[in-house]
Amino acid sequence: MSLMEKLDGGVSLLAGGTDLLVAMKDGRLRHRTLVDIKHISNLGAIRPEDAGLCLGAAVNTRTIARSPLVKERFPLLSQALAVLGSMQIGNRATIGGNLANASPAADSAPALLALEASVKLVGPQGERLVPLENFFSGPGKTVLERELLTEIHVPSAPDQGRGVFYKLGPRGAPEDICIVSVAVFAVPDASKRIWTDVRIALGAVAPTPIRARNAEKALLGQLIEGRTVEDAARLAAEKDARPISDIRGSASYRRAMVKILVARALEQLSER
Amino acid sequence: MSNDHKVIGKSIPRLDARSKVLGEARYADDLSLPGMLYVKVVRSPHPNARIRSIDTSRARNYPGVISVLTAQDIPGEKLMGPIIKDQPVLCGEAVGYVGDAVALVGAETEQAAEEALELIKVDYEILAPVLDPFKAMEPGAPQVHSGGNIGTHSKVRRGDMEAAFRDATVVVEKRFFYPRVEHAYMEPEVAVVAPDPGGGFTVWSSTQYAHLDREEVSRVLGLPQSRVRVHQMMTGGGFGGKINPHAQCLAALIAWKAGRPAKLRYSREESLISSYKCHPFVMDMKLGANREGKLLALEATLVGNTGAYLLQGKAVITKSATHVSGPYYIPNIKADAYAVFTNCVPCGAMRGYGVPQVTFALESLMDELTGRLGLDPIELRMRNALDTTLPNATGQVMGASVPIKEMLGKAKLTVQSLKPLLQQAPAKGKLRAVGVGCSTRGIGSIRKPSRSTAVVSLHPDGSATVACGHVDLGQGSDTMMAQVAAEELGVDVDRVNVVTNDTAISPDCESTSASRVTYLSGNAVRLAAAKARQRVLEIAAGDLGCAPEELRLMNGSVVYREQGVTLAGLFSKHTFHSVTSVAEFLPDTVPPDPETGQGRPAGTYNFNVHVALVEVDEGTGQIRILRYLALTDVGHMINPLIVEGQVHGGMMMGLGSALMEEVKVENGVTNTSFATYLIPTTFDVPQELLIGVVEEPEPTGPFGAKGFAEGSLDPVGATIANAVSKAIGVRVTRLPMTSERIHELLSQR
Ligand SMILES: Cc1cc2nc3c(=O)[nH]c(=O)nc-3n(C[C@H](O)[C@H](O)[C@H](O)COP(=O)(O)OP(=O)(O)OC[C@H]3O[C@@H](n4cnc5c(N)ncnc54)[C@H](O)[C@@H]3O)c2cc1C
Repeated sequence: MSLMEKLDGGVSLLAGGTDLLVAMKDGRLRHRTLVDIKHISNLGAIRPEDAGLCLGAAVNTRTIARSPLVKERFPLLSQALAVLGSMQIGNRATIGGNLANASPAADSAPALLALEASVKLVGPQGERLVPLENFFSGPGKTVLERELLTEIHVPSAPDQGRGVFYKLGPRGAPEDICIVSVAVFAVPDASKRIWTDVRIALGAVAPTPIRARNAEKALLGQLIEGRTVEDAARLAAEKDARPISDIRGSASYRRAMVKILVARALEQLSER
Repeated sequence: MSNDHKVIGKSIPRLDARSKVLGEARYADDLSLPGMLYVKVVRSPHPNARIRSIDTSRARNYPGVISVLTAQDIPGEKLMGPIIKDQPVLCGEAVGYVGDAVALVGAETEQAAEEALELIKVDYEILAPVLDPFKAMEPGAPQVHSGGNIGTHSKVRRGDMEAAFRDATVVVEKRFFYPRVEHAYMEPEVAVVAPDPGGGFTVWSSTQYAHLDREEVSRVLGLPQSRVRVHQMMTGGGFGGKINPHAQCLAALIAWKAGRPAKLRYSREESLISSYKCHPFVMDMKLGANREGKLLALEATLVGNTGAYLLQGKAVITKSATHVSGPYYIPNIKADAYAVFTNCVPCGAMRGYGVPQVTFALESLMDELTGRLGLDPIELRMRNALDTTLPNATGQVMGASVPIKEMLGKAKLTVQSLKPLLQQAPAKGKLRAVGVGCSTRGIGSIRKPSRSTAVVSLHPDGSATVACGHVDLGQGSDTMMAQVAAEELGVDVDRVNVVTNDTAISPDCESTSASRVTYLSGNAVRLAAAKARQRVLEIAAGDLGCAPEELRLMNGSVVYREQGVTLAGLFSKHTFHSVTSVAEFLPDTVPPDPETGQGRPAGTYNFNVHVALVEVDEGTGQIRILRYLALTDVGHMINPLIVEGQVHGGMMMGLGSALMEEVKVENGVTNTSFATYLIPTTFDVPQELLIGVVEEPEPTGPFGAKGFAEGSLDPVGATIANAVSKAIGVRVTRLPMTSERIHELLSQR
């Protein structure tokens, strides 16, 4: 922890290094002391926690994607992490690194937002638990203040809830940095006619990964049918997404894709 | 064509395969010499600027720095280039694009060299750049060079355009855009240069043309060519991009100045920013046909953005103009092709050399015609395809090996076999269609006749050494040459040593490019080997009192009526150590006339017919290729395994520019890594990729063979675009077909 005091003052935490080393090579980060956190013992576990999960920040994303426990409890998370980078990247990239790096396109974020995960941050001043939605503060920025992200807590979700993750990439490989990503977790009522709980999260269409609150609100308590799906998809695209144009895609294409992918996800989750 | 060949036509594994698989192959960057310095380059951050002054004093004093160099220190020529020598080795007065080289540092470590770069202060007077070729042609545009911004204008003139378009019942016309593409060779540019004790220099490089490295290094250092020796190291791809020995010249300058070995290796970013690319084209094309679908007239204006320097731009533009009518007979043609200077990254040679561009435009218009005429795409092509009697755009009649109609027949069967997949209802929101594309290309340089020379030495143990200057870039040409020599000399391939990579041994045969090596050097090697064999057989015939025709060479012996005489014995008796022969091959060509484009520019032509079945996601615009057939014509296969490898690679390279690749320039190149400049991966390979080879021997080729290595790329963009256009009901006029662009077209329906 005493090292943590020096964070930003010439010291960086190194997990898998798949973001950090690229930044160093590009010259965006130079002459830093690196502290390898991969071998801190309690950062390396996947544990059940009531009906939820606790993920150590230094577990690599491929291990999480393939974990039977994760597959059973949160197939949505497993689905999202299975396409985070190629096999080689997935074997190194940690879940903590993916979140701490705070790319708007980070693939673990939409699924974890939709599952309403929280992160545990530990610093010289003690520890705190922050809902993931409040963790990101901008592209590459988080609320971390000379702290270590140690755990990700995924709370239990209703049994009848189901999730879908869509990632739109620029070429055939499923593991590129996405143009747009969408994670939806939806809970229908017992009769499967009404949306009782819907959480929609979007990647790469705002300065941070976001929840599409306007779209969610429009669905709550409504009939599961084409009209509500369409309305929600439109709201997600027009009200929730705030995309920019960059080398991967224009703002207008991104908006259009939010609409398409949210609609597809909701349609898939509407199937009885 | 006799089929009793021992090694020709056999799928012999490539001679370099084993060393590559085992990691033993030596690339230029594997080389480290005692006392070797590392070189780094100061590059311009501005697309257009005058250099007021360069202050190198702080860099000179930086720890570890041995030499710092600017244009004024260059002892020899200050301009270089593969064909047109118009690029400054180091810019002295002005810079022409972001990435232009301005100064050099040679230091004990790469890190010291890199750090010293930042201490060099260049005072620029920043000028307005011109990046768009059409703006560059306007009066008052910033002048990239003093002679105006039109670097070259190539013409084709055949027939009477006015009358022909008057007679046409259907005329289609559109503007097409082809992207600027990066070669993306796996190995970026590398050169190591060392001074020799005798005052010369030795170069070890990753290169497509070792003798050009020799020429340019000697010009820049002011030395005779004979004092520079170049070793081409194992080269990790070139695709046209390594015919410009800039890194070699820069490393040589530091080696000369410091008197020590020097290495320069480009980072991927440096390579993406500074190396020349494939020309982006804007093409206005107009095509007219009669009611029966006979093509009557083609008019084309082709504008290629050649960037800051011409380098090979003139030759690329000429190739595209002369290939404007594809594999079809069109009696009336008017084409004007321009290479236009801008302050963009330069463009030069890339696999295809202007042909994929015009193929995309022409084949798209062919499909537009089919719609208007109500004709099947293959039928329309069949009605207009060249044969051995009809002239192409240059007026050349090929006389032999023109199998395009046979290929179209095969393609038709494939299209029919795809019907069930087409009719089978695709998933919701998915659109399917089949597209066809055809192409042709002249083999070898068309701008001037080009000769290959080979030296073959037959040794007393029956083994042989072949020296020929066409370097192997990984495509397998050394293996091809070994097969050709082995066949002629009656030995196994592993008894032949092919030396193409040493300028002190291998004769200059021009660059490994233009699909020329098999046709030109294959012939030269064959002729030289045959000459050596003939000489030996004549000597033996004298001894045996028979005719040379009654003898043959086999595994180091001359065989006469099942009796063998060893070469060792024969050589010793006649005071030979080895028997060495030299032969040349120069195809019978006439370059295109500058005013009309008419001539006989190529010794032979290659043809390609491709078929694609695509599926387009109506919502996202994403394209998937479900089936792909690449039919190619190779004359006669020397090595089927290598043919297959070339067609696979060419097809996938074409798929890159069709679907995703585009070097973007805003002042400088903006996609400067493989995270933002995307190339196809295994996930982009069509679900099923079939390769078909049609063999119609080329009478002037070695064992009937001809070149084909670029051909498999030429029609890919056209083929996929035709399929996608059909699927979405809107004509694609711009490559690459990113999902965003297709989504935009879908919303125009
Ligand atoms: C070729 C390639 C492909 C990629 N593809 C994808 C992709 O498809 N999807 C995707 O989302 N990402 C992708 N990435 C990005 C990257 O792999 C992921 O973001 C990865 O999860 C980062 O984790 P890491 O362990 O490597 O982090 P590191 O690089 O080690 O660290 C990243 C940042 O987070 C900080 N950090 C790491 N762990 C902690 C911690 N526990 N507490 C506080 N701070 C911490 C580090 O100091 C650093 O600033 C790709 C990267 C590459 C190179």
